[in-house]
Amino acid sequence: MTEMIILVLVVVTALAFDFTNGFHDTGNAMATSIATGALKPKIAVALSAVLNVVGAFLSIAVAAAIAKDLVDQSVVTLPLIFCGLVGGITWNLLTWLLGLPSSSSHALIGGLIGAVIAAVGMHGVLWTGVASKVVIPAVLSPVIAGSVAALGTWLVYRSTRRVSARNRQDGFRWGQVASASLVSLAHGTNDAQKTMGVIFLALIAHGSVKGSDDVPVWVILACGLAIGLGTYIGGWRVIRTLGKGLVEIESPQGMAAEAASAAVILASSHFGYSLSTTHVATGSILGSGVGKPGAAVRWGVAGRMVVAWLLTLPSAAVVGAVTYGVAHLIGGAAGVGVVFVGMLALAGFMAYRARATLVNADNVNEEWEGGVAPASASVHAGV
Amino acid sequence: MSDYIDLATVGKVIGFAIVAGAGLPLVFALGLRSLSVGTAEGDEQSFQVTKNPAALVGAVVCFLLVAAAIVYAVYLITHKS
Repeated sequence: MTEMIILVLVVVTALAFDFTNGFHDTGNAMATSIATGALKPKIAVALSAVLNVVGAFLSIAVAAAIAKDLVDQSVVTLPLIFCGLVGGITWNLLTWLLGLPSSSSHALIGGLIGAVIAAVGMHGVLWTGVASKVVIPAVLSPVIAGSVAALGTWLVYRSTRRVSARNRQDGFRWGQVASASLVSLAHGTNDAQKTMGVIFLALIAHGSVKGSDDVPVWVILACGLAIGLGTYIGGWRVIRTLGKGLVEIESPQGMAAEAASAAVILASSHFGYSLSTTHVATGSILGSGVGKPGAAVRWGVAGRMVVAWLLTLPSAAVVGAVTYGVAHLIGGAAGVGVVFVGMLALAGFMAYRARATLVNADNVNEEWEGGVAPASASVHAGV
Repeated sequence: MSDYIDLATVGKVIGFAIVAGAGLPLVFALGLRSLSVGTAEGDEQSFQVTKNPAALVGAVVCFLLVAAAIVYAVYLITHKS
């Protein structure tokens, strides 16, 4: 019975993580299309949501492993997976509140590493794997994506100098929608699959399925719907920072940025590297600002993001470790239940705080005035 | 260092990213430029634009090339992930 309660809480928490993954990452694909008016905000998030669900169903190889090359698989238990997920969700919600794009994969990995350290100590973590599969790609991928996007932006502006501004804007909007759709589809196949793997592993640990079985259809269905629903809710705060905060973006830049993102994500997954979509997309958008002569790039906003990226792993790890300590101290289903209730309370508090500076489909494109909160939101809330 | 980073693979990723990520937007841009080639006749109020047939064919070729690349990308996403 105790095992069953823990299993249910792990599955629910994994789906909650998948949901935050969806709304945190909507902006990676759609922020530029929303900012340039290529798509209406609601249409953009709906399109991205559908493509994420389609992508989830196309995921073929679901690995029944969690962070396989990063933590010692023999120490993984249900409460440990649970606390790793709580660490990931907490960091996703905090960065969403601050309107900062940050990697959901890094948040989950960080939470797991923290829980592993709390459970068995430093030797449970495969540090070489962490360096080669997480840290180095995280440093390289935004630089590569940004350089490609800068080159692409420079090329398209240079080659369309004689095209009228209107034709150029309309033409590139089409290209933008196509390239952003590819990013959404790739996101669905990559990210929904991670949660499927987590739930599958939990089911194996519980003994409900065997490792040689296929992933149950309800797992694929639930994960696809969770990430799609999250995407549709739209992480408007993150979308606003990516589309309006980082650079003033026009449709040719948007197409160059999304094409660079799609190319880098596809190339690296083809060669066996899994990258953070967030790092790639942010690098590309920044690059599209660098590549257009005279475009304004807000380096202060970019700096804040980089700080958030550096803090992602350690912060999520601290939450993972502390919650594991609490769950372990109380023990059993009660321990996991207490952490679950604590996480719900924290999530509720952050959602409440977000209402004071509400960002939604109506004000997401307002002029950037130094922060994620649009001028109209503060007036509305009386702050 | 080679335990941590596979330079050959990184090189391939960079190569592919430049060709597809910067090259395809360029092809699309060239298509748009070809599409806008034409000669205008008349005054500012009423004028007629005669499209250049060769440029129009060029534009169609560019757009087809981009469309083919997108189809290939979808194929990669659905078969390799």
